[in-house]
Amino acid sequence: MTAQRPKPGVIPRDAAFDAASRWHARLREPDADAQTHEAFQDWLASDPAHFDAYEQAVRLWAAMGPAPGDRRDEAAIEALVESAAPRRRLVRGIVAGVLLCLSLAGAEWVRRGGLDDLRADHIASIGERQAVELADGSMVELNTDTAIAVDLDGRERSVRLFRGEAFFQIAHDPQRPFVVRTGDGDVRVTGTRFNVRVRGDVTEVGLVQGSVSLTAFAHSDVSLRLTPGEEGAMTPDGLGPVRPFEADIATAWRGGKMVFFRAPLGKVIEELNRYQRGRIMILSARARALPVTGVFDTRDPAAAIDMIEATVGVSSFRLTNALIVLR
Amino acid sequence: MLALASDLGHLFRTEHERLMRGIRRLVGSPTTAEDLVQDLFVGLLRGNAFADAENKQAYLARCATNMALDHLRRERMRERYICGRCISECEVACPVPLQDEVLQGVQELALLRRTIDELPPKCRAVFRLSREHGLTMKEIAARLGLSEKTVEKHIARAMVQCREVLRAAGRAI
Repeated sequence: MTAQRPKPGVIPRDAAFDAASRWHARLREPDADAQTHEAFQDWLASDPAHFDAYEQAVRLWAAMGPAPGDRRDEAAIEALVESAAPRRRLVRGIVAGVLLCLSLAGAEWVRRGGLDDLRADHIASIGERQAVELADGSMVELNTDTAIAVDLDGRERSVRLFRGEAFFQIAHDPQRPFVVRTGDGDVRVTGTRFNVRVRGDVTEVGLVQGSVSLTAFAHSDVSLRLTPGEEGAMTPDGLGPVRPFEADIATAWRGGKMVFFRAPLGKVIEELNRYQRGRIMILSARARALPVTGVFDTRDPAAAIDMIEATVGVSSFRLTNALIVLR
Repeated sequence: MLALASDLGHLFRTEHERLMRGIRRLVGSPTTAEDLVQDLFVGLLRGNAFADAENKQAYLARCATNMALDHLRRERMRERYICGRCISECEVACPVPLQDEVLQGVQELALLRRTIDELPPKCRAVFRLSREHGLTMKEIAARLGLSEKTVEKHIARAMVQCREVLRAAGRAI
């Protein structure tokens, strides 16, 4: 069948124009492959009105203004990304509370990810844990100070992990892969159980069961496939080395516990700090290196400090209500 | 140059049939399709872009698409030239407007800007990131935590809305 000329007076229907706009968008992608182009050619050939619709899309796109320059305006882009907040009404309502928060502890609020909260669908606050069941049957457990956004609408199921730590049990769906996005890269799965922790600018992924594939944004042409019992990392410099993953210790938080086996006190304190608003500081390098073994309740960091004082050989004193110093 | 020619020669043999199928459906005559495919390969021999392309099959397919579209446009222009009536009588209804009837003027641009501003927040952000800042759908999907399909849906929705607004204002596109 050949593409025949439409009669004058025929206006391309909206459905054709909608499809044409989608094709136009797909063809603009730099990684559009041969199959995409062939599918487009098929679509063009299947109905004479499609060519007109496509040409309209081309002209409309061109008419919107000048083409974007080569250099990106990162500030403007970030502003647009922020403006896509899904709950505008909520933002207006809490503006007063938010401003108050900012004036009291602005840097702390931002550091704790306050801006992310406006985009998140589920948030566990500091010291809290939360279990979320997704519409596809997957389960996501959030640890302390964690925020996620969920999108199950598209070809892929995706969860965005803004900060914190979450344990995923993903319902198997061969038609739709599941991806966890963090600031450092993507974790792709089909059906599986794994832990993702955002620690500063590094994302650590430990696999319990099934199969995951990690891609770091820094080097997105390389992927790493993990096997159960392995932990990988995505960093601003690319993929980190694979380490053994001790699931029982790393996911003890799911049962409200922290487990340490001869862990340096500095690391233990770093963990405790995640579960409470106050900060614990260690004054000496000697103290930071002291080994700690124990099982602590994530809900009771104060009890952990008491036990550490008793067993490790440090003493504590409070500077303010929120600041404890160990030496 | 020699190495490129043999590279292309090999590609010609393997891809020729595939390219022909796509173009033939669009242009009707097999001889025209054959001519276009030949032109395509001659063009590739002359330029450097093919040698630099990472995915050669995708690059070829993209060239074929562009050639087919150019051909259809030329056909349409010829048709329009012949159909003298079209020029005076068909306005908004005519599917073949001349190039210089394409939107111009501050008014149309203002109308489009306002239409974009009034889109729902996510849709607007997606469209502006794409049109004003040149982000790919992949990049937009990553930054907004959406699927690429959803990004595509938002872009199409913005386009349909703009077209509606222009039609309501009596402007052709």
